[in-house]
Order: sequence, then C-alpha cells, then structure tokens
Amino acid sequence: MYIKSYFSYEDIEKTDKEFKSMLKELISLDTRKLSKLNLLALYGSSSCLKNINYEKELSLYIASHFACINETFKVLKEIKNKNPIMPFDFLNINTNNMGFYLSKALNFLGNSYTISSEFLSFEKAIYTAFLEYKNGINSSFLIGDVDSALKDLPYSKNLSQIQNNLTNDISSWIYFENSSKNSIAKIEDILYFSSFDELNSCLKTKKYDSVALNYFANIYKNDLNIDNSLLLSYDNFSTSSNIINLLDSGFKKQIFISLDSTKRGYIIFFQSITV
Amino acid sequence: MDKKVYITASSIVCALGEDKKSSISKLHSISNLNYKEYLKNNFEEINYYRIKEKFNSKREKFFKVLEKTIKDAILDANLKDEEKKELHVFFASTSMNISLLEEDFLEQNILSAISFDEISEFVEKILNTKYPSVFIQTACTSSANAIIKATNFIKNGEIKRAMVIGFEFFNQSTYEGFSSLMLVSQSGEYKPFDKNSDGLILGEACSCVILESKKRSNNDFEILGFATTFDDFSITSSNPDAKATFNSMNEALNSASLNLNNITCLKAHATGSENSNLSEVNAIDKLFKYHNKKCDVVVLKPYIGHTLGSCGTNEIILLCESIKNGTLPKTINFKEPYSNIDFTPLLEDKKINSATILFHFVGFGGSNSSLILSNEDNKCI
Repeated sequence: MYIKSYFSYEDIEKTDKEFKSMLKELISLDTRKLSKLNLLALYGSSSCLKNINYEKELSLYIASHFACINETFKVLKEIKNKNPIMPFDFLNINTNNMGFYLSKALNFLGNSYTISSEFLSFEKAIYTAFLEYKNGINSSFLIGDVDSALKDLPYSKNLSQIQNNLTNDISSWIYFENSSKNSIAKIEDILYFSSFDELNSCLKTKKYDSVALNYFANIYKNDLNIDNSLLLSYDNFSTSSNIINLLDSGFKKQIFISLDSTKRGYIIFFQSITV
Repeated sequence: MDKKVYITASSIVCALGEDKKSSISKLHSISNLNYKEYLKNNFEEINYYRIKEKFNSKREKFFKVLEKTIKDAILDANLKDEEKKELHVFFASTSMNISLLEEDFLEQNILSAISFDEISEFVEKILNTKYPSVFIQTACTSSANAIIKATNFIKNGEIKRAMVIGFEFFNQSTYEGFSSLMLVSQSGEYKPFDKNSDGLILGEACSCVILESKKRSNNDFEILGFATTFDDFSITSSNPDAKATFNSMNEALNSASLNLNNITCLKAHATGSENSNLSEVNAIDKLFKYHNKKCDVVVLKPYIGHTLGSCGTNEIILLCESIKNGTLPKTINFKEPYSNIDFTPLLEDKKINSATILFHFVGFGGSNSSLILSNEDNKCI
C-alpha cells in the first residue's frame, strides 16, 4: 500500500472563522453552517490531496477519538435551556456527515466510514484499509485523524494526562494507492499483538533504522525490545502526526509502535521510496 | 482464501419484546386489525417505539440492555470462553452514547464520558476479548456496514469470528433533531412506501449478531454477497434518480453471483420520509424491470420504528428469525401504492422457513448498503 501524499495539522485551537478563511483558498464548498469538526476535516483532507491526482472511488476512513463531543454539548445546552434544536446543529452531531462534506468538496464518490477505537482509532483505520488493500477489496484510501480541541466541557472525572493534552486541533491525513508511481513510501506490513511479550518477540526479529512510538508505547518504552539509539521522539499528542513526522525523517526502514493502555497494539512497517 | 460467513447466533431487545423469541412471537401476532392497538400500547407521551422494560435511569437501561443482548447472543451460540476471547467486536450506532450524556448533563450538569471508551471497556470486560473493539458510524447503514466489514475480514481469514452490536437508545437530541428536519410523522402512523406516508417514527433497540465461518445449526443464514454505494446528493435524503440505490442492490446480487430469480424477498429500508421513500421505490422498480422479474418486498419499520444505525442488525435478525420460525412477515399499515410504480409490498404473511433475502439499507450522507443472506442449501454457493 503506497503513500502518495500526507498532511499533518496539530496546533493550538483556532476559531471556526479562521478555518473558514483558510478553507477559502482550498475548496469552493459553502462552509457557513458546518461544525468545527467538519471544517477541520475539510482543511486537512483538502490540503493532503491538494497537489495530487487521486482516485474518485477512494475509500474514506475518518478516525476520531472524541468525535462530535463539542457539537453534542452545544445541543445539550439548547435542550437544557428548553430551546428548539436547529437542523444544522442536529446534523453536526452526526460524525458521519464529515464524509459527505469531504466528498462534496473534493469530488470523490467512494464509501466513507467514521471509526473510533479508544486510543488506537487512527491505527485501526489504517489497519482496516491495509487488510482491504491486501485482500483486493479497495485500491485507494484517504485516511484521516480528526479531533477538535476539548474545551469548557463539564467533564465529571479527572482528565487523564492524555486527555489533558488535547487542547490542540488535529487533522492529519494520508492518501494511499496500490500503485508505486509517484509514491513517497509504502506500508509493508501491519501486525497486531494482543500480547506484549509476543510484540517484543517480534521486535527482536525485525530490522529497521528508525522507530517512533505513540503515547502509550512511549510510556512503556523501557519495556519494549527496541534499539533506543534509533528512537525518534516527537512532541505531538496524536499518533497520526507522529507517523507523518516519522515518514518525514528520511530513514529507509521505519517502524511505528502503537499501544493502548493495556499494552495491546500494532507495529506498522514503513519503507521510504527514494526517487 | 475465501471462507464462508454465517450468522451463527443473534439476540435482540426492541419494542416488540425483550428477547428474540418474544419479539418474533409479537411480530407474528400484529395485523392491520390490531396495529393501532399495538401502537397505542407502545407509544407513551410521544410517538416513539420504546423498549418496554422500565429502568431507574437511562444509564441503567443502556448498560443492562447492552449486557443482556451480548449475553443472550453468547448463549445462543453457546460460545466457550476461548471462543469469546477470539471475538472482534464491532459497535454500530447513530446516536452512540448521547442518551448517557443527555441524562448526565440535564440532571447533574456534568458529562461523565467524553468518548465511547466506557462502552467498549464495559463490553470487553464481559467478553474478555483479546482485540480492541471498534465503533463504526455511517448513520443508518452503520450496523449493516459493520456486518459487511466483519464479513470481509472473516472471508479473507483475517479474523475468526466477530460480534456486531447495533444499538440505539432514546434521546431527546435525536428525537428533536429529526423533528427539526420535518422528517417525523405527524399522524403517528408508520406507513413507509404508502403514497400517503407522512414521515418516519423513531424507535430504540439493541441487537447483536455473531459471525463465524462455520455453521452452528443447519438453518443458519449465510452471507452470500454485499455491496455499498454512495451518493452526494443531499445530507438527509437520497438522490431521486435512484442510481446509487439501484447500483448497491444490483452489485450485491453480482457479488453473490445471483440474479433476482434466486431472491425470495427484498427487505427494503423504507424509511418513511418522502424523498428517500420515493428514491428507494424507484430503485426497486428499476431493479425489477432490469431483471424482468419481481420478488416479494418486505418492510419492517412499522413493527419497531426506525432504529437508525442499529436497523441493520435489528431488521436482519427479525426477518431471518421470522423465516426460521415459518413466516415471511407482511407489511402492516400499507394502503395505497405510488402511481407509476409497478409493485406493492407483501401484504399477507407467507409460510416459508427458508429464503434468500436481499437486504437494503440507506443512511444520511448518501450511504447505501445491500447484503444477500440465505439459508437455502442450493443458494449457498
């Protein structure tokens, strides 16, 4: 599965107005009533596909951990105040409408799916696409990781460190195809491990010249069978941004390790393609 | 590798009943004569198909019903502990955890969850599964698409077995949201595909299917084929040209190497909203004309309401189990067909216990999903 293009956006929160203004240069869609999550998704995806020819039948996977929580909270406040719900506010609490707006703006007609899988949402989306590629079900994929900054939510529990860190807007995207022409890198394999020991055993047998980790893998990095001298550390919160930084690193054989809080997870094997 | 995929077990809690057996029994007992009485007993202060059992809170209802549905399906399959660990869990819903968020915020001014993690942690604890579960959202096609994804993985030998859980629980946000879009029936009578249909009526339900590559009983339904298509006509309704819907159904037939001659019945999405109704009716008419053949058309939403993202698992279970129990169920409350359309839904029960069914589902944002299921031996290729 060949990577044709990627785009990473992870930055401190911007307003809807700022995104709308940035989007004017990228797409012609009417964005007046769109939620922040939709605007973020449009910004990242259109930036990713800006300079390439992409398949119109691509499959779209949007990973989101917190999905429409900010938009849902807005609707809940209206209900609490006994105000009527406006149609677009309601539509904005349905995460899958991101796919509709992206298709409209970028003129593709493949199927779209929104995926959440605890803190492995982006990895699950890539893994799903990889299996579909491997089994010939689809040949082109646009995979995004979209979450808007959490703010002013009356969350009853102590925010764990990972959630505390989510003060950034995230919209990072990778576009994959089955042909190597004009590709930047390729995914050679993705392996899932329900056992940490098995993951470590696998790591012993693999050759690589750089390795990067997601948030939880970084917590457990001293337990991982990795060559620390090859470890690349990034300050991003999201896995997608870390993966894109790894792809940018210039190394030939790269691996990315993603774990969840119970030490289950994925190893993704990348190989850069030099022109 | 191309393995077969069967629905080897299932469970449901819906407006018809608190389990599969009582739901099928109730479904068979409803007729045009007692339909209004059924609705009267079902609807409370608003027109909404509710799960009957009373709970102290929405939270209790959500997790008790979810737990019961999962445990009923495990029991139905007689899954051993080792087999449970191998389950890949797919959650599918439109409103996800909104009922929980709503109760928290309206009653206590707090939110006790800001992601879906508490749901997956709850279910993974019951099953002790080795794999992280995944939530799939594609609006009203969510659970149908989750079945398709899981089927692909089993077919290709990537996973051994899957559990697809479709769930939708009452919440004011969704109810008022649909009302704001003017999609909810004012008459309080659900009559999709009827010329005088005046909108949809929402419902809540939770259901679960287990998918495996080997049958557990002789009349298990096999998933023979499927297809998905997309149209970008409107966020809330299907394109009146009906192309995407026709293509989805026709491609599903192709993927199963079948044609309409092999199909016992078509379970339509039949949402009840004007544009989507008309689009789907046109697509079915076109499909029948294309194949120069008709089959029975079954409409289930008047029995349980439109259960949004969970309607895939709900309607697949209700129809397959009804057939296993000897009845292809009639469409209730249908009076007048659209003009220029050359079919009407099935109006009388048919006595059959095996069938090959084309299921169709449509979702907000232009998503179409079709699946072909069969428990007829000669159709299972």
